[in-house]
Amino acid sequence: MNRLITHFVLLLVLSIFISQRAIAQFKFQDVTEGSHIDQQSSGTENVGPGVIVFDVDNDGWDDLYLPGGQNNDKLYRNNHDGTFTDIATGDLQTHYLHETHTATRAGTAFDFDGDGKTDLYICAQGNPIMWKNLGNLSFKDVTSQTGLSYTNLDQNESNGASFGDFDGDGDNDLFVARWVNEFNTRFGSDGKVAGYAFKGFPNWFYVNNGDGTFTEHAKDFGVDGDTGCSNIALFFDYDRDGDLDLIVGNDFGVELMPNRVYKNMLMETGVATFERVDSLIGLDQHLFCMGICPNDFNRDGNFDFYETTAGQDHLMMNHDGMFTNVSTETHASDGYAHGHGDTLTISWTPLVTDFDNDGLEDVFITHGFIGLLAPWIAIRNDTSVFLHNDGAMFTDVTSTTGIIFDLKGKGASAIDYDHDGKVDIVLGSMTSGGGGPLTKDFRIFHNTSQSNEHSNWMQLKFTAKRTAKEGIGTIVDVWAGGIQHSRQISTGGGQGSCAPLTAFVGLGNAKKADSINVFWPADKNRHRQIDHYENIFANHVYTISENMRSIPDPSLVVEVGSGTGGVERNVSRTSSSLYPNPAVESILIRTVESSTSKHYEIFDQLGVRKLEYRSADSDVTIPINSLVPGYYVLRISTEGTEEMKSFIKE
Amino acid sequence: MPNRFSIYFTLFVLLLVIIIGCVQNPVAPTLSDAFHDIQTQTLQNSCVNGCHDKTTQRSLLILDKDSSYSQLMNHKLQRNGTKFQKLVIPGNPDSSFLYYKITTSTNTIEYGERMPSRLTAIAQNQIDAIKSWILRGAPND
Repeated sequence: MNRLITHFVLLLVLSIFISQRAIAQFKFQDVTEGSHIDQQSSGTENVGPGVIVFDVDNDGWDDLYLPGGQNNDKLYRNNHDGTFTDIATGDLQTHYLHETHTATRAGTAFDFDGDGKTDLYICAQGNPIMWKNLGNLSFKDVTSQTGLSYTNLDQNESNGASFGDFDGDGDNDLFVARWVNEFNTRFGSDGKVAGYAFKGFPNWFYVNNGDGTFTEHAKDFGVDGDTGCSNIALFFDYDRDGDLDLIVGNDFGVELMPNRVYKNMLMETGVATFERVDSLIGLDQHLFCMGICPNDFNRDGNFDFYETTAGQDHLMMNHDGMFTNVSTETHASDGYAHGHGDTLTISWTPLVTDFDNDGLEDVFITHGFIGLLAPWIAIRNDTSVFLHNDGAMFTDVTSTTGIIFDLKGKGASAIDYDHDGKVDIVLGSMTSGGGGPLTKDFRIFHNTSQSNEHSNWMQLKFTAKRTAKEGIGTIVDVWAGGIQHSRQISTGGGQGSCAPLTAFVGLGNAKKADSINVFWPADKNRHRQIDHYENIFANHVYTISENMRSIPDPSLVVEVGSGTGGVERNVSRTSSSLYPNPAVESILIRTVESSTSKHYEIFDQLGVRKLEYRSADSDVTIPINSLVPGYYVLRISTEGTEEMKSFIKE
Repeated sequence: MPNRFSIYFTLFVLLLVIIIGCVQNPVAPTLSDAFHDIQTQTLQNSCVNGCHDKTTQRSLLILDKDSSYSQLMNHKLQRNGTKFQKLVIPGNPDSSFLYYKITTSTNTIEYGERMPSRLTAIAQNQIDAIKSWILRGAPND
């Protein structure tokens, strides 16, 4: 009898495991031909091409800017039916305004002048270009007028750019990662290449003057990077304190300058300055850094980073602010070419996102050999890799995804181009090797994974009010079935690429989010808005504006696919006051309605309730001595009404 | 034993030789204007390593011995319709962007830097050889 029970239990466990594995499948199909994407770029094989995702016409569908290197650039407008049309014309198309505009390769897209239209900053081997979106699907070169560095040098080597409102003054600032200036090869005693002593160009940090012009301040802020050969720029609030930090990935860091992290001190001091903290927090890896993708692969609410290089990838796990590399323990990509356990490969762009919407973020990594890097170690061509997240542990599922891409993948972006709730991939690559300018091309991989009751999803877009409207650095915690899904809006950290400003959230079995907490970036006065919503249905795209209280709101819900949409719970606006803020000992809450029993709850940034209090008085003092310094949201509930207030505990 | 006059005379002659030697500029030798020699004496030393080699490809231009002639004849300049159409226009150095880039004294946004970038300019006799080669019709000799 005992044996029978044992067999039964084993069978049960096995069947659960098999069913879980059956759920854990994602499939892709190369639909490039049918999509009308036919861009080919010609440039050096060293950098790019990136994939720049943005919404050129504000129609809610992501479009694509694909740099052409020495060829024309192309701007593909999304036709909403799975196809794209190239609408690049004039100077934007040819992009060669001068002989110093050599080989476009990367870029980022943001509204630099606050006119509501998304502009383009394009990086190149020569001079970069700022294109102003004129609103009629045409663009104008405004590089000189905006005060961006427009040099008379043939080389400027801008390899990547990121934007964000680092000082909370309401406009977007820009950071540009610049690559090698001087190539100095170091030879070994045998006369062969043994290493590099390259020197990089200083990075550019453009602070927006608020009038559509910029001033370059990299050295003043200590973020010029000295001699580092920078590849990746990423504005990101790594410590969730409400201000945008700056993360820089350096190439040739194996012997030279490692990756850098500059912590923004706005929340600590009231002034937006940077302090270098990479070596203090364990993010000073010496890599050939090609990409840095933020994620929360282990769903603990702390943002981790997937970093690519020549050789083994680094998965930097965040232990409450300290990072350690767990790529070996988690079976992240081992850096060896498929079927060649003794031969390293080169990883470029990591995309960490939930491809099968099972609630755990998976990984896609572009692989591709180039000759310039690390000639002293064996490196070869390889296929791009898919890793399935089995629960903070990864399994290589490349062979079952339907995509075996064995050309030289480089830039990439995750994008739901057809609004089916599943995350697709646009990839930039080079298809040929050898001497001379290379031919590269772009692919679009459609996610054809089967949708079922275990693959619910939610996509969240944000519009900030106090800071620049793109809301770079906005953190959202989606709670569903007791599981926390944390995302942050950023430019993504891919090789030369710019990610869509959308939080893709896979919810697995959960048909709704129990709660959504939105932590907006702090403004220049350190006010940080925290919004809280409950019972949000899955399988929809939501656009959330800062301090949007009344739900449901027709503007909130965009019907996509199946599902009823909307929310169940009404939240109405009242007008309580909270004082002081920031507070040290206690907070005083004055409510309009007296003699009604009110329920006071204080939540921390992770949505955990820390304090609770009930009173019918109109003035209530709540001691907060027990709270650690940080940012909290106070929820005041009465029967039928609910109100949120945020405050800082010092 | 030499007399005093002969000593002074010898010293005078030596001094004259030294003065003449200092006053007269040494005449740089005229270099061969065959393309093969231009490649060896100028392009290989001043242009290839770290910039216009196969891996670096500054401005997407490769000037190593395997590629240079083809690149100089066919390399696509960025802008059509401006002053320069190609790197080399056989017979016309003033319309050849290569000749402009090694002789210009100013850096401009329009046309960039004097080459080699941030290094000593190419010597005049090397420039003369390139000019002579272009005037001869820029043969692959």
